[in-house]
Amino acid sequence: MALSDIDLVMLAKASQDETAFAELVRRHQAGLRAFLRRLGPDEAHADDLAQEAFLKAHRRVASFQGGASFRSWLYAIAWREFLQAKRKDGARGRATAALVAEPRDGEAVRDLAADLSLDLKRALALLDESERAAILLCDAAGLSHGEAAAALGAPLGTVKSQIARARAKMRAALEGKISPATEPTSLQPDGAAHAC
Amino acid sequence: MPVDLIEKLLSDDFARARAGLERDGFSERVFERVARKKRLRLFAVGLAGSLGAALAAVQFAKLTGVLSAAVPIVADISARAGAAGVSASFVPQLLAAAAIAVAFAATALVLHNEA
Repeated sequence: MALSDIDLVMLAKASQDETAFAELVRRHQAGLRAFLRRLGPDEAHADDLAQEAFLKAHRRVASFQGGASFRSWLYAIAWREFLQAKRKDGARGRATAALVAEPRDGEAVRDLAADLSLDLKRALALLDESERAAILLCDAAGLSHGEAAAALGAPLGTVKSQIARARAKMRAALEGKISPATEPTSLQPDGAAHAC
Repeated sequence: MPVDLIEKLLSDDFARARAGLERDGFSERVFERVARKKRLRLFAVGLAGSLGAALAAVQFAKLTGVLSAAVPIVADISARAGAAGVSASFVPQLLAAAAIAVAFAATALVLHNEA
């Protein structure tokens, strides 16, 4: 039976067990990177931030109290890394500009799924960062409202409002972009991805 | 457009993105960086320990002098050591050597725990 995140954290804390921490990295790296890649414009930079987040998590794992899930603790580190990097860059607005920019000749992706993804990225780019982070954590990554609030360091009510605003903005942005041919066949929530 | 559809689009998009990132060597790059940081820390601790020991060795004569002069009990120990057949003049040196040995042991302990 696979160990839970908390079991692995306890192992990592108790014996400085690198294999336990390695398993946590393997479990969460793809989700964390996908979150950071949707949050900002630059995929390589997103991966750098994810690496920094994991290094910090490794350094601080002994201080993990277990009050929140490991996942929300890890995403909280990554969110702070993202905000810190943005402040350092002084590149306010660059993220949005890069997301909204038209693809150059030769890099246009032409299948429907990719087009849809591009529309989604543009719709996400219209949100402010907190709204984008909140809706990505809940609607995309499948965190609960409580986990998202812990990750973003915001009150639960604030996160709920941000998600509602973000959904309304995205609905407006995507209205007319989705033809029946590109709509998903099922609108039923499926499992953990819809925890909110 | 129903809210459910936005959730579905986002979660599908996210799942696609995740799937493409599962096995691209990122985890190994993180492990390598963790290991590199650990090696650097070990090197820094080892270097600090060696430097400290070297400085202590250079100051060994002074240290024994200070111990002789500043610790009154040394005189008593010296007297007892003399009675036990150990030259009293060596006692401050033994104490200084013990202090250096403790420093070495502490460094070794840290290195052992880090490794």
